[in-house]
Amino acid sequence: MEGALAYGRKVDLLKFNAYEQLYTALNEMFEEYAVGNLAIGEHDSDYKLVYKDYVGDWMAMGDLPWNTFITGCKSLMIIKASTASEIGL
Amino acid sequence: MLGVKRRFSDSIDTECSNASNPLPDEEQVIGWPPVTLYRKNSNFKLVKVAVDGAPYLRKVDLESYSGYQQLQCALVDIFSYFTVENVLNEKVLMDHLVNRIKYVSTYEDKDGDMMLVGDVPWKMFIQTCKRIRLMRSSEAINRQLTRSNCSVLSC
Repeated sequence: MEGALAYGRKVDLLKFNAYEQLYTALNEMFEEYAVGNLAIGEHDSDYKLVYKDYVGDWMAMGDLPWNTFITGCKSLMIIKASTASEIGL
Repeated sequence: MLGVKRRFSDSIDTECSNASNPLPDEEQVIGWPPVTLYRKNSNFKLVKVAVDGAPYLRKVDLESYSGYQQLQCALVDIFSYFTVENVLNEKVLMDHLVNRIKYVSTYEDKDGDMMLVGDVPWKMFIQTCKRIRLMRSSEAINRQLTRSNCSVLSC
């Protein structure tokens, strides 16, 4: 999580069947550390969830079908919405 | 016997070299550390443990624990070592007793990321853990959001 937490967490993507389930789990995990509205996946969130694929590019969530996404996703990052727009996500 | 050179293996303390099975000469391990004679047939995974505020580090063998429970006990022992019995840094003791500063168990994984201890299965943890750091909560949780804390995105 950008800026707010000095350590990361591990989640098992195979435990979820859809993006919404992942968002719910991450909201629960990181809610207490957020400054502003965490609400990952929602329109009014102050944060954006992005992921890093095996090539090393940071990508926006949601473009790929879930099953395709989990095969290519190497790590996740919760960034501030302002950072996201700066880097074009 | 004057003037006869001794092989390194002969000069190792006999207690070490005759642990339980005296090895034939050809099989004796020559080199450093001599502890390999004890541990010839067993795995061990030694990692450094750093405690925020402590003047030096400790080492633990992850293979000697059966799970996170035992590791946590060992980390509590190490923490007590620095704060109660061996107060080389008074500030650590003050923090612990007076301010009840909480510590978080974190580790550095193979990718170089700092992660919270406990999320992955134990066997997987042993393989990916490079070192452990007991981090002060005040350092772990930072309410001031700065881009400088997010080096991975500066490409």
